[in-house]
Amino acid sequence: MMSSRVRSRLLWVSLGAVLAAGAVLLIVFALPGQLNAFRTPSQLATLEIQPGKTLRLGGQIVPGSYATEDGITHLFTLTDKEGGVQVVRYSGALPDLFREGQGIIATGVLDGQGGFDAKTLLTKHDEAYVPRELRDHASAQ
Amino acid sequence: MIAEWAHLALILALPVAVMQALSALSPAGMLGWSGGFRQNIVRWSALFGAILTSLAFLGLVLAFISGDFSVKTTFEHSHSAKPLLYKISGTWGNHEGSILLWVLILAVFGGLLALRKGAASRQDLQVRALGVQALIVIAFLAFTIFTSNPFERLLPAPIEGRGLNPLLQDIGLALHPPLLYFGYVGFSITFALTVAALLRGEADQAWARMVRPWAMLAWTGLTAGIALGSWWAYYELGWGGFWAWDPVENLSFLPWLTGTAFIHSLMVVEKSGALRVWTLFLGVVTFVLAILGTFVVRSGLLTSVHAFAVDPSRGVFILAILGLAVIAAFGLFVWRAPQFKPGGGFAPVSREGALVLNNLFLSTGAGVVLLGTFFPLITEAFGQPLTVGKPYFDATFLPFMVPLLLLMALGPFLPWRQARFAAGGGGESEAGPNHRRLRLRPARGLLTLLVVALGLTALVITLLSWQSQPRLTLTIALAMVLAGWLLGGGVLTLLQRVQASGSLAKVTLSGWAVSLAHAGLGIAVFGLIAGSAMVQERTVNLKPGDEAEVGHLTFRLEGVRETQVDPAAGRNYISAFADVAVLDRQGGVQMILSPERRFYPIRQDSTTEAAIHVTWLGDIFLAFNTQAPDGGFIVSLSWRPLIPWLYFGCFLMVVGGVCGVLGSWRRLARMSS
Repeated sequence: MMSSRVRSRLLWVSLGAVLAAGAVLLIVFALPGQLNAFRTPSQLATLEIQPGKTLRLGGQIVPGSYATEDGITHLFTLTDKEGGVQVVRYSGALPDLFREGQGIIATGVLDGQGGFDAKTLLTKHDEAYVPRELRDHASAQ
Repeated sequence: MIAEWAHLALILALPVAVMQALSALSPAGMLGWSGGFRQNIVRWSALFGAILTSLAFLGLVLAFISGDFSVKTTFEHSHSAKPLLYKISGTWGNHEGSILLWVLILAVFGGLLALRKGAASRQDLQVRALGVQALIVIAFLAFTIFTSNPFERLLPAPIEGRGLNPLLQDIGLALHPPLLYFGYVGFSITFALTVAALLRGEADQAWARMVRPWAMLAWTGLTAGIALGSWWAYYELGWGGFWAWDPVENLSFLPWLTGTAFIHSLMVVEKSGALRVWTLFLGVVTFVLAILGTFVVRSGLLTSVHAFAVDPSRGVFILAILGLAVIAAFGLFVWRAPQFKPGGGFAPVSREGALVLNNLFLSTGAGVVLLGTFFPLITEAFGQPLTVGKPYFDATFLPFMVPLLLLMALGPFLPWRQARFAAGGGGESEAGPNHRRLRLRPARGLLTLLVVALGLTALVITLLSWQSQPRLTLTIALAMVLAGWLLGGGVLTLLQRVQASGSLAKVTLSGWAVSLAHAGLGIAVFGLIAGSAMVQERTVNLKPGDEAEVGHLTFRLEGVRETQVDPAAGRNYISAFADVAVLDRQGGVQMILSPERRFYPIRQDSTTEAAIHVTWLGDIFLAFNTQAPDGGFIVSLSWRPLIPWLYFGCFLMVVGGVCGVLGSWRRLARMSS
C-alpha cells in the first residue's frame, strides 16, 4: 500500500516522463524536414542537392554582380575561396549592410534551374562581425 | 585622469570581493570572528564593492560624455558629434562597456542584499549568499579586468572617435540592454540564496519567502528587457521582426522560461514546503542559463543576426567560468539534494498541482528551445553543423504552450492543498484559512470562462473586421479563443479576488500581480497571433503620384526629400524621406508618413528608419529602401494588426511583476518584524 504522498509523487514524475517523451516525439517528427545545412557555392557544384530543400548558403558577393530591374527582385552572385559561384535571387527589401564584396549567408532553396532563391539574407550586424561559418570557411575575406 | 581613477576603483573592487567571499564562506571559527562581526564585515564589503564598481562605471560614462578618446573603448565606439543620449548609452553599446554594466548590476544587487541587516534567523543565510555572490563578482571582475578592460589607453590619444554603429544609435540601446541585464543578473541573487540553502541543507518556507522578492524582481526586469528587445527588432529592419527564434533571442527566453517556473514553484515552497528540491534545481538552472544568455551571444559560437564581433580568447574565459559554475553548483546540488526531506503533500487537483503542471510544461518548453538553439553546435561535433529555424520551434514549442495557457487561466481558482473547489478560500496566503468557503461548481466556472473567452475573441475579431479586412482562418480563430481564455482568466481572477476581499481596494498586491500578469499575457498572445499570421505586406516600386493598396489601406507616394548633416540638431547623418500619404476612402489625404533612409558619413553606413503609425487596432508600418534603376522608389507598405497589444500586454505583465515584488517584499518585511 503506497502512501498518498508517494502516489502523488509517482503521478507527477510519470507525467513529467510523458511530457519528455512527447517532446522527443515532436522533435523526431519536426527535425528531418527542418535541418538546414550550411553550404558554400563550391559545395553546391559538387554535391547533388535537391531543389526545394532549405539550406544556408554562405559566400562573398562578387563585385559587379549585383543587378536589379525593378528594385524589388535582386540578383547577385556569391563566391568562395575555392572559386565556386552561385547566382542568388532575392525579392524584397535589401538589408542595410548589403554591399558588394561582403560576406553574407542566404537562407533559401535551389530553384532547379541553376539559381538559388533566397528567403532571408544575413549580413553583418556591425562591421567587425563575421558569421561563424563564414569565418571557418574563410570565404576570401 | 577620470579613466585612471575609474580603472583603479574597478581593480580595488576585486580584493574587496575576495575579502567578502573569504570572510563569508570560511568555516566558522577559522578567522576567529563571531557571527555578528563576520556579518558586518561581509555586508560592508558588499556595499563597498558596489560603490567601487559604480564609481568605475560612472568613470566610463563620463569618458564617453566628455569624449576622452585616449580610452580605447571610447575611441572605437564614440564620436564627439553624437547626441548626448547616445554618448551615454554608447557606454554599453560595445563588448567592454556592456560587460562592465553587467558587473555593475551584479555588484549593486549584492549591495542591495547586504543593505538590510538580516533578522537573526536569516543571518547565516544572508552571509553565505553574499559569499556566493562575491565568488560570482570575482569571476566576472577578473574577466572584465583581464580580458575586456574598458579603460585600456591609447597613446597618443586620437582627437576623434570612430563613432557608434548607426544601428545602435537608437533609444532601444538605452533601454533594452540595461533591463535585460537587470533580469539576468537579478537571478544571481536567487542563485546565491539557492546555493546558500544547499550549503546549509535547509530550504524552508522562510527561505522561499526571502527569495521571492528577488526572483520577482529579476523576472520583471527580464520580461521588460525581452519585450523591449522584441520591440527594437520589430521596428529595426532586417532584424527579423518581433520574434524570429534567432539564437540570441532564444538565449534570453530560456532563463525567462525557467525563471517563470521558478517564481511559481517558490509559491508552493512558501505555502506548503513541497517541491523544495525541484525549486533549488530551478534556482541553479535559471542563473546558469542567464550567464549562457549573456555570454554565448558574445562568444561567437552561434550565428545570429544580433551577434557582434568577438575576440575568441574571451569566449574561452567565459566558458571556463560557466563550466566552473555548472560543475560546482550542480555538484553541490547532487550532493546535498538527497538530504532534503520531502515537504507537505497535496492533492493532484489543487493550486500546487496546477503549479507543478506549469513547471512541467515550462521546463519541457525550455528543453526543446535549448536543444534547437544549440543544435548547430551539437551536430557540428558529428560533422556538418545543421541549424533549425522557426518551423522547428513552432512545431515543438507551441504544443507545450497550448495546454499551459489553458491551465493558466484555471490555476488561480484552485484552492491550496486539497481538491475542494472554493469560491473565496482560494485567495492569497494571507486571506485567512476559511474565507467564505463556498463550494463552487467547477462546471459552471469553466462555462463562465469559456463564454467570456468566446465573447472577448468575437469582440476582437469584430473590431478588426470593422476597421480592416483581416485574413482569418480556423487556426487563427482558435488561437484567438485561447488568448481570450487567458485574458478572461486574468479578469475573472481579479473579480474573484475582489469578491473574496470585499472591495477592489482590498485586493492584495499578489492578487493584482497574478491577475495583471496572466491577463497581460493573454493580451500579448492576441498581438502575437495577429502579428505573425495576419500581417498584410507589399514591397512596391513607386514614382511620385503612384498609388498602391495593401489590405484596406491605400497609399500614395507624394515625393522624396533630403536633409543634410546638422550637428547642432543632433543629426550626424544625411536623410532621405519618402513622403507617403495614407488615403481615406474618398481619396483624401488622411495623414502623411515619412519613412527615412539615413546615411552616416563618419562610418559610411546607411540605415533604414521605418515610419510607424500606431493605432489601437494595429500599426501602419512603412519602410523606404532604395531607388530602382528606372527612377522609382522602393517602399515596403504593411498593415500589422494588434501589434500594439503585444507590447501593451508585456507592459501589463511588467506591472504585475512590480506588484509581485512589492507584495512579496511586504510579506517578507511583515514576517521578519
